[in-house]
Order: sequence, then C-alpha cells, then structure tokens
Amino acid sequence: MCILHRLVLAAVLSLPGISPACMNGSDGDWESAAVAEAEKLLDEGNYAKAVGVLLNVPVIKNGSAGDPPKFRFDDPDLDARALRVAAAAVVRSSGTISRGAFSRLSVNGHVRSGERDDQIAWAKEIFAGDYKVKLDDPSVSSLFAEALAAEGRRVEARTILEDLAQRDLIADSYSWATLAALRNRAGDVAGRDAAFAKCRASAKRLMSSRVCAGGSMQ
Amino acid sequence: MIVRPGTAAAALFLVMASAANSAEDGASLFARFECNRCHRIERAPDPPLEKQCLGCHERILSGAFNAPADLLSHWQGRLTSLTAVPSLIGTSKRFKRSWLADYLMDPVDLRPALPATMPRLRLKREDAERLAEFLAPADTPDPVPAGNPANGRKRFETLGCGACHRFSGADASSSVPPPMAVDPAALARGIALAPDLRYTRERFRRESLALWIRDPASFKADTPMPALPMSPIDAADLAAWILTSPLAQAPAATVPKPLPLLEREIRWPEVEERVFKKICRHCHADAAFAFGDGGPGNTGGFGFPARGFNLATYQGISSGIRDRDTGRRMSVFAPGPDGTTPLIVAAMLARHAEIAGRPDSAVRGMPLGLPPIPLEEIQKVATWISLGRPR
Ligand code: HEC
Ligand code: HEC
Ligand code: HEC
Ligand code: HEC
Repeated sequence: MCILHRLVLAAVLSLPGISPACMNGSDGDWESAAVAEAEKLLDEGNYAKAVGVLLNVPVIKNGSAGDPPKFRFDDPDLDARALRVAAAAVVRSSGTISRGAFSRLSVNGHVRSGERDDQIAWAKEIFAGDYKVKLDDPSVSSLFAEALAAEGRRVEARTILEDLAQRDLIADSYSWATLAALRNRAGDVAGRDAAFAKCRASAKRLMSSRVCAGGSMQ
Repeated sequence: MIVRPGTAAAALFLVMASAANSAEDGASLFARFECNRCHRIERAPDPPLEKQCLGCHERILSGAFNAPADLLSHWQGRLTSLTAVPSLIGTSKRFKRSWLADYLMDPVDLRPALPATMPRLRLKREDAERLAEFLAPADTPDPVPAGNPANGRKRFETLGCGACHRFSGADASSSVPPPMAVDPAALARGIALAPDLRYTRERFRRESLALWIRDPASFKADTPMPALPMSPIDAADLAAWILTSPLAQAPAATVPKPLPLLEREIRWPEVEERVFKKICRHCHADAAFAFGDGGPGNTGGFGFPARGFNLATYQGISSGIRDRDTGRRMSVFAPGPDGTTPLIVAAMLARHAEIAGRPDSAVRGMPLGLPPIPLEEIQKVATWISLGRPR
C-alpha cells in the first residue's frame, strides 16, 4: 500500500512534519525521499549538498541500479532522476563541487577521478542520453544545452536554447543565465539583457543575484 | 548532431493519440476512456485503488484508507471533489440510448447539489454511440404511460420527494421531509446524487419510470433513493406528472466576463497556493513524485493522450504542454485560440462557459469536470502572467 502514500505525498509535499508511515525509512522508499530532497537542494543552488544526499543511492554509489525494488511500486525514473540531479550539480558548479563527493560518482561502475573536464563530460553524457529519448522535453533539453555550453560547444548549446526561448519554454533561471552568457559572447548585448531579465523573473527570490548576475558567467 | 527537438516526440504522440480503432466495441471504449475510475458498474472490475478517483476519495473520507490519523484528518478537511459519483449499475433499464450518446458528447449539469459534472471527454460521435449501446443494449420502443399528473404533483409534496430532488422549471415546491426515517449520512448522499427531474423526460425510459419511483433498488441495488410507501397508482401518477408537467424555460446562463488585471505584484507562491496546488495538480501532477503517473492532464488518462503538463512546480508550468494535435510543446502562457488570452487562462474561463452551456470547441474547460475557478483567482493568474511570471 506504500504506493498510495507516495502517490498522495505529491499532494501534501509542502506540509511540514507530516509524512506517510511508509516514508519512515523501513522499506526502501528513502531513496525516493533522497532524490526529492536532492532536487530541492539543486533548485536552491546547494550543489554539494544535493550530491551529498545522493551518495547512498545505489546508482550513484555503485554506478549501477540497486536491488530490484521490493516495496517501491513502478518507479523506473528514479535512477535517472538521481543521475540528472548529480549531473546538473556538476555542470552548474562548473565542475567544482567537492572532490570527495564527486569521486564517488561513477559511470558504469568505473569510478572516475575528479578532473573538471571529466566531470563535465560525464554530466553531459547523462543529459545526452536523456536528450535522445526525451526529445522536446524542455527541462531535459535545457540541461543538455547547459552541459554543452560548459563544455565549450556554444553553437550547439545556443541552437537548443534559442529554440526553447523563442517558444517561451525555458523553465529554469540557470538556463536563462546560460543563454545570456552565450548571447553576450556572440555580441548580442540586448539579447543578453533580455535573457538576464527572464533569469531574474524565474529565479527564486534570494537566488536571483547569485544566478542572474551578468559578470559571473564565462 | 542536434536533432530538431519535437519531431520524434510528436510522431510518438500522434501514434498514441490516434489509438482509436474503428472496430472498438463499447466495453473496450469503456476501458480505454477509464470510465470506471469515477463510475462503478457491474460489468467491469474496479481499477487498482491508485487509479480510482472515487474509490480512493471515499476511503479517505470514511477513514478506511491506510494512512496515519493526522494525515487522514488533514485530507478529510480538504477533500470535496469526486466524493460521490452516480454508479452506472442498471443503466440498461433506466436510460434511453439516444440520450446517453448526446449526453456523453455534450454533458450538462444534472445534479444541482453535486459539485462535479460529467467531464467533456475526447469522444467521437461513434464512440459515444457505442458507449451508449454498451450502457443501454436493449432500446425498445418506449410508450408514454398513463396516469394522473395532478395527483402526482400532490404525492411529490406529501411524500417528501423534494427533500432530495429539484424539479426546475416545474411548479414543484416541496419542503416536507420523506415520511420515514432516513439516516443523515444516507440523506446527504441522496441529496448530492439526486438529479434535477427536469431532465428525466429526455433521459429516463418512460415505461420503467413508475416502477423506479416505487422500487428504485430493483433497478439499481446501490441507489441512494429510498423506496417510499406508495401504491402503484401513486407511482404511475408521479411518473405521469414528471414526464408531462409544463416546464418554464431554463433561465439563459450568461458567461461571466473576466476581471481586469490587478495593480499589485503577484508572485508564484500566491498563484500556486490559491489555484494550482489546490485543484490542478491532482490531475497535472509531477510524474517524478507520483511514480510516473502524473495524472490524466500530464501522463494521460480518461482517454486523453499524455499532454505532458505538470502544474506542480514552477519549472513544470514553465515547460509548457504538448499541442493537442501535433504533439509539439508550446507555452501555456502564449495566446490561446482567441489570439490574446494566455491558453492557461483561456482554459479556466472556458470552464465558466461550459457551465453556462457554451462549451468552447477550441479549448477544454479546466479544471476538467469540476467547479470553475472563481474569477478573482483567475484574475491573479492573469496578472502574474502579465508581470512576466515572477517566481
Ligand atoms: C472524472 C470522473 C468521471 C469520468 C472519468 C467519467 N465520468 Fe461519467 N459522470 C461523472 C460525474 C461526476 C457524473 C454526474 C454528473 C451530474 O450529475 O451532473 C457523471 C455522469 C455520467 C452519466 C449519467 C449517469 C446518471 O445517473 O445520471 C453517465 C451515463 C456517464 N457519466 C457515463 C460515463 C462514461 C461512459 C464515461 C467514460 C467514457 C464516464 N462517464 C467517465 C464523472 C465521470
Ligand atoms: C490514492 C488515493 C487517491 C486517488 C487515486 C485520487 N485522489 Fe484525489 N485526493 C486524494 C487525497 C488524499 C486528497 C486530499 C489531499 C490534499 O488536499 O492535499 C485528494 C484531493 C483531490 C483534489 C483536491 C481537493 C478537492 O476535493 O477538490 C482533487 C481535485 C482530486 N483529488 C482529484 C482527483 C482525481 C480527478 C483523481 C483521479 C484521476 C484522484 N483525485 C485520485 C487522494 C486520491
Ligand atoms: C433520499 C433522497 C431521495 C428521495 C427522498 C427521493 N429520491 Fe428520487 N432519486 C434520488 C437519487 C440519489 C436518484 C438517482 C438515482 C441513482 O443514480 O442511484 C434519484 C432518482 C430519481 C428519479 C430518476 C431521475 C433521472 O432523471 O434519472 C426519479 C424520477 C425520482 N428519483 C423520483 C423521486 C420521487 C417521485 C420521489 C418521491 C416519491 C423521490 N424520487 C424521492 C434520491 C431521492
Ligand atoms: C480532473 C482532472 C483535471 C483537473 C483537476 C485539471 N485538469 Fe487540466 N487537463 C486535464 C486533461 C485530461 C487535459 C487534456 C485535455 C485534452 O487533451 O483535451 C487537460 C488539459 C489542460 C490544458 C490544455 C487545454 C487545451 O484545451 O488544450 C490546460 C491549459 C490545463 N489543463 C490547465 C489546467 C488548470 C489551470 C487546472 C486547475 C485550475 C487544471 N487543468 C485542472 C485534466 C485536468
């Protein structure tokens, strides 16, 4: 019956102090809780903490999925979400989240060292995989574009982001900031300022000065 | 290589959207449109509990749902939608097939005390006809029964039928309680589910009506309508009156005009709290939190293809919705069919229009099948959008 609690948890997620019985850690649902928490931390710009809470999630810890879920209902996306948060944290921190944390991230069970470029390349591969299967999902495309930009593949990154911007489908302040930087680099000052304005509107109030400040990008 | 976003997803979407198969019979249409997530019926099993909009809500209200007591009571305080829905047991002896098909295509509000209406689904006329045939397999000629309407009018009063029923347009005032003890919970349920008798002449099989009035449970074991003490003659007279009483024209419902934009700043937390979190996200959930089932308005359901619209988060609402026909993502803040009103605002206004009997063929009213969002709340959403959707 845990599924039911999880299902309606979505409805009450914002309630402090109330948590359905099966969320109390006994039956494997801690993984969902950890991933949800990491997503929230990422949204708040706490990259290192976001990766920190994921460290015991099997796909992050071992580089492969854990035991088949016993109590979890059908949640095929959980591993993908965990990887996506970790990868976004890597990209948005320009590959600088704590080495200790990152050294435990891995691809296919092979633990990699904390080289910045390697980190970005690893993250980009995560998004590239999603991007191939989830075409036209703006949250996936924009993360892929952020990773491409971090890797220096600016033309490709900008193509994706301009297409989304033109359709008014950029959902995240970080992606707006990336587009602002790309436009700036291409000499489009008015476009840059427009993107920063969008960035400020879509950033959480306290995050805006940090994410959407012109000078801090590339 | 950069693949043009949208093409493959759109192709997949179109395949799913055109799943309808011309040879599909009523039973499989009933399954495909997931009618039994809201309606019980003897001929189809209930879906799993996590799919039952009605069954799960009932369990939460009755306390039978397996959850901590504090959480249950919190939910009970918030739950009003889809807590009672008429079952479709015994429809074949009650409803005319032609009425069923028309109603499914263009549902009207039958029950004055029930907040929800039958949702406008994405049904083709032939689907509606097959479903009607499934619900009313024997559609024999339906003669007008004999009876004394004047006596029927009196019996309506003395038997306390008006404790549950409205008969709008007829001269049917009745404030007498039924002449028998009805348990308060059963009475409340009876009031919620009692149809306005104005529609009965269009929908009910005339030959069955007198028998229904005298012994409703013989048609439908789970009916909340009690068997009231009356003779077969009284029942025939009541039926005659319900079928033939002159009806005043229903007052023309007007579509309310949207309110002008507000002068103050509105940020995401306010519209989230007032509108999206309260109602919308129960059908447009974040699929990630709901084990992949983002509800009928996101991952699909009730016969709708997955429109991919997540109203649970700022990022979700900003990620748009798949176009109904092409499957390509578009912003819900872009002008809708009228060329100026943002789609998401247009959908909430369209629900007011549906209630007024003027459904908009270009945009489906939201929240689907539920009471419209008050104009003051829609005004907040429109203002928030006009300000650039500050978070
Ligand atoms: C989201 C819930 C929901 C779904 C899904 C749904 N319905 Fe309904 N339906 C209702 C509600 C609520 C009413 C009562 C409306 C009223 O009285 O105005 C209703 C009324 C009806 C009625 C009239 C019954 C009566 O006793 O008055 C019929 C017939 C019906 N629905 C058939 C269907 C069929 C067929 C499907 C699937 C194609 C379906 N419904 C899907 C909620 C739903
Ligand atoms: C697993 C149980 C469960 C299922 C299945 C379920 N709900 Fe709910 N629903 C709840 C709970 C619990 C609440 C109250 C939670 C809250 O308000 O935060 C709720 C609240 C709601 C609300 C908002 C409160 C209100 O009464 O207006 C709506 C609308 C709603 N549900 C619609 C639906 C629809 C439509 C379906 C079917 C597609 C559905 N629900 C299926 C448990 C469920
Ligand atoms: C306790 C509430 C209650 C009382 C009292 C009551 N009814 Fe009903 N009646 C209902 C409900 C609920 C329905 C809908 C049946 C269902 O879907 O199970 C109904 C259905 C009907 C219908 C079918 C209408 C349609 O369009 O489908 C008729 C006709 C009707 N009642 C007549 C009467 C008459 C006449 C009386 C008085 C002798 C009466 N009712 C007393 C609750 C009540
Ligand atoms: C009972 C379930 C349900 C609820 C509650 C609900 N929706 Fe929907 N919504 C749907 C479904 C199903 C669709 C897909 C309809 C279609 O494809 O025609 C949809 C589609 C939409 C669309 C696109 C409409 C169109 O015609 O293209 C918008 C906009 C929307 N919903 C907004 C909202 C908002 C805003 C709310 C809350 C006020 C809301 N929805 C509540 C089920 C729901």
